Amino acid sequence: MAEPSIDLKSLCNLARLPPPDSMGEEQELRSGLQQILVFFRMVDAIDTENVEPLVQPFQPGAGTERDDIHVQGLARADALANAPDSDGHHFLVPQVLK
Amino acid sequence: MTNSACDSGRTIVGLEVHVQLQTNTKLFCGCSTLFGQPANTQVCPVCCGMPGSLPVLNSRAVDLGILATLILQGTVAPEIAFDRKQYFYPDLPKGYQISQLRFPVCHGGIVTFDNGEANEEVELAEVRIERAHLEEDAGKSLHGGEGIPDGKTAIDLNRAGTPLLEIVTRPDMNSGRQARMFLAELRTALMWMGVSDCNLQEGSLRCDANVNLEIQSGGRKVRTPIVEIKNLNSFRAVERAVEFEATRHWELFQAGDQEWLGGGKQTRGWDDGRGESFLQREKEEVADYRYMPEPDLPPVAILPQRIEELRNGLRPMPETAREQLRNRYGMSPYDARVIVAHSPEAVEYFRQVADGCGNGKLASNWIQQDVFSWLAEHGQALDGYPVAAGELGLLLVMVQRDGLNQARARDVLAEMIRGGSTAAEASGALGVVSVSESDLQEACRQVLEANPKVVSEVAEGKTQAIGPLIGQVRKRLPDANPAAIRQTILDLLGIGE
Amino acid sequence: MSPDPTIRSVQELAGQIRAGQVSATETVQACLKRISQVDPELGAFLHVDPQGALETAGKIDEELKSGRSPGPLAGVPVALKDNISTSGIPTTCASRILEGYVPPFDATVVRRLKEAGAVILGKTNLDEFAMGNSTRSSAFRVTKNPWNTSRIPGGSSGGSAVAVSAGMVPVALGSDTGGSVRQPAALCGVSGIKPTWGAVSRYGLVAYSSSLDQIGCLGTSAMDLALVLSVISGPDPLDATSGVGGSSDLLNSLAAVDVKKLRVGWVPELLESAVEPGIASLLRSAVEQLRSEVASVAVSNWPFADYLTSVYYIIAMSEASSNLSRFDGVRYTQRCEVANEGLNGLYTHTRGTFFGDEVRRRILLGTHSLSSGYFQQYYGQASRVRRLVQNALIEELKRVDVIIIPTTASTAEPIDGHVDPVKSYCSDQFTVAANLAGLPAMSVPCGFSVDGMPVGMQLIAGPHREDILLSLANHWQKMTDWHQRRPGP
Repeated sequence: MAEPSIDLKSLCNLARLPPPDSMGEEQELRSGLQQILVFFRMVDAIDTENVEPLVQPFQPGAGTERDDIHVQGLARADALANAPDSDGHHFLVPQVLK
Repeated sequence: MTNSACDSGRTIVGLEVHVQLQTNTKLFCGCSTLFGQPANTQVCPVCCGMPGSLPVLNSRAVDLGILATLILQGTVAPEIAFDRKQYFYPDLPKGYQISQLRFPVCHGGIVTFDNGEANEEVELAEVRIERAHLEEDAGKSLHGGEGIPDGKTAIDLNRAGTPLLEIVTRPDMNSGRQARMFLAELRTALMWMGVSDCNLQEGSLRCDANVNLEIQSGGRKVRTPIVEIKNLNSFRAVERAVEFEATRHWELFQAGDQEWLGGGKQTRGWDDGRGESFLQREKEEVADYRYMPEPDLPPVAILPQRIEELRNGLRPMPETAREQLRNRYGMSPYDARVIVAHSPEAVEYFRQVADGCGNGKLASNWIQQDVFSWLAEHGQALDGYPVAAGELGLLLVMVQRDGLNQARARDVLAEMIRGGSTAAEASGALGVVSVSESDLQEACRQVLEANPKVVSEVAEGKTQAIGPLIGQVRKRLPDANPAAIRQTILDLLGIGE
Repeated sequence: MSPDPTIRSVQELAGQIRAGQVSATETVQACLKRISQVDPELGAFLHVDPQGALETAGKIDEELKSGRSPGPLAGVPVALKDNISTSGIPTTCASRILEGYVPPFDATVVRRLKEAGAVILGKTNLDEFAMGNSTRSSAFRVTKNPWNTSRIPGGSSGGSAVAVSAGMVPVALGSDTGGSVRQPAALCGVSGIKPTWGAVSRYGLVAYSSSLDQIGCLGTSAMDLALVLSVISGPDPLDATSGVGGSSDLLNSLAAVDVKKLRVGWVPELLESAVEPGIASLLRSAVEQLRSEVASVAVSNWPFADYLTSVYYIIAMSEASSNLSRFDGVRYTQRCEVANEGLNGLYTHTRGTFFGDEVRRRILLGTHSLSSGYFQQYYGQASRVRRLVQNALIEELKRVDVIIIPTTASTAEPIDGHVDPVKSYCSDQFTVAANLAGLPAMSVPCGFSVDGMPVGMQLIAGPHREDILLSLANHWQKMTDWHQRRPGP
């Protein structure tokens, strides 16, 4: 099954990564991705009808929930310690246009 | 709505309701869910989405999800699982929200509620539930305002990770009013059963509405594109927004806007102040949420035993209480709704007061007017009301039997609250005298003897002549109830009313 | 007795420290000295914490003097791969986006090591966000193979493998998603184990691919790995996927395994076609040597051989694209803001500037595999094939107790030189199966190539049968001395 051409601009946006700057960069990126997608599509050859997908190799069964009991978290200063921009109370980002 | 013989429109409304589950801690970590705390003081590596952190499911949240399913008369899933809903937003710390796509806790269900216009009759309507699922809330973004530096948005993660139940209805409602009545019922039921405190002010119940019209036109049925309306902060806002949208669609259809008609789903915000909806900028493209099964959370089997234990712990549904209020106490459907919608504690309080004074209507009026308003003003739940049901009952006996007028009785109530005293103590302190039947009759007799002219006017049929006499009786007995005085005079004159 | 800087045995060292023959402080000093001597060239460490380590060692020595027992690993120096969170110590995942990030909490494994008295010496180099098999994609430094410094150490846990191989620490933790503990162990001539998925808590491990990741150990002997594994493994209330079962007392179960009763499986056809001749002959020789030591040796099925890496990479990249969304410049990363480009600009420029090429490539491919219209074809199909792979391997591991296959197809390649991505992905063909199926697997040294580079042999067992792996490996290490060879100074 041939893969329709990837919409690179849309894909980069979805991943919040910068789109290619130039035609050359775009060509390179596109062909690199296509090459790997061909490698991915090898799995098409395997018949998986009626096979349940595997997400976690094993499951603990019971006892994976926790009680509704308060546990001390981080002090605010620790939570904000690595923030690139903060006013001591909040994380700050450029204003999101409304 | 109709325009011509050919065109008629039917409004179609579906709702997505997010309720915050009443747990002590968040859905996936042990941070507190207390409302109104200083920014970023209820956070940990998990709800901040720090690298290496992992979610662990809160069992109480699952229990409340199961309870909600039972209340909604839905089917509890035998096994629940979680999925990642992926998008970028600064108050979504992991870049994805842990939600349930494939295996939600609740499938199906139905909510029956009183759609009645009137106060006298119960008129039942039904809304089917599509599904309900558990998910974590995002944090808060503060776009400018007090204390926020210019040109910045401030992020507070206290709310991030709070457990929500998203309830999705089928598009079974046909008007804004119906949507409002449905929401009121849903709120009452969830609040009664302790699933959520459904506090709209604190945002523990939020609602988006999906609205469109089905228009019968020229022998065909045409459906207008669905609009999702967000930022509805009250049930009245839901009602207004739905009606506004229905009208807007109708007008666009009549104007023949083909481009709009063929377009896709829109997202609009609601400006309650202006009473109109507006297109929201941010949803320019259809979001691709790239749902993926959550690898960090194993599926959870919900055992029948767990469901049964929860079911056995449920108190009777609000409708049972309303029925009793209507049937045993003769309460109007409207009053029954109001009392029940307040809280189960309010119903119990009412019963005690009504049984104590023998007058359900009187009890209901006082509770709605005096008790509820005091509670609202002081931000208290019913348990915080300083007057015991028994004492209020005794006060109302004074009103009912002893002719204590209601204005004076309210003074007594205020004194009871101020001094923490009983009805008897407070009325004594204010010098309120209980007027006995015999005293009242004696006073009326005396006044009538002193006013023979009025007696003959009344005999001629001018009953309004009694008026001034009432004032005269009150001069002798200031605590006598004017209505009781009037009745006593008429009785003495041998005139029925 | 002064500490021998080439003491490699955790067991021996722990015993000597407990007996007072050598102090924790002296041990740490010896390691720090060794690091200062060889690491400028080899590049194993991203961060060394001499102050913290000596402080801890001092406290341990005090406790020992006062007759208290600080734990089974008292005074033992340990290195940690830099994707394992350490409170107060930078954790960068070898990425510029986390440059300067200091976690406010310890990973559970770190807490358990500390409770056992171990001394954290520092954080080791890796491929950026653990995505790679050479350690080349680290944003900060180059790590070299101590056996030949023009060659890669393998990856992604290259730094940990070199730290052990070059005698800087006796044991190190790494992480293994598609082979990242076993492969560098093999290329550097040390032992490495990836436990059953869920046996060791992932709380604090910066996630690459959640359903494939496990924290593992690298050391010089199977018994050392057993000792450390017994300390760090076990259910953790902070990781809902942990504690899936398995022995709560690894050391006792290990002792109870009778190697003479083990049924061994091997896959001759892999040796014929897929590996360098030198490796093939070493593996054949190993199997021959074991034949008389175990109950039986039989040919095993090796399922879906040609498809394993594509299945692996679809799943790994999909989960990675999701796990790395949190690195957005908002809360704890570097940030790159561009005027007038607002929030989206913040995200895009931050991630574009501070993520390396391989990470960006994998995020794009993972995002594509999960996106609307492609999900079923890529992620959906891969997870169904994964089910088939797990079924087949678990079936096989009922017929035999352990499968022996190569760890790698070739020895360590040169650091310089063009790397074709798809070729590089395909070289993981022997290691990814155990991650896909969640099975425990380890690599032990089994010889050297003609040009003197180490070769590893891989053992795979059934769910929670780390005891079988470790006891067979231990037996092999009594029969042979490959694991005792050292690279030059």
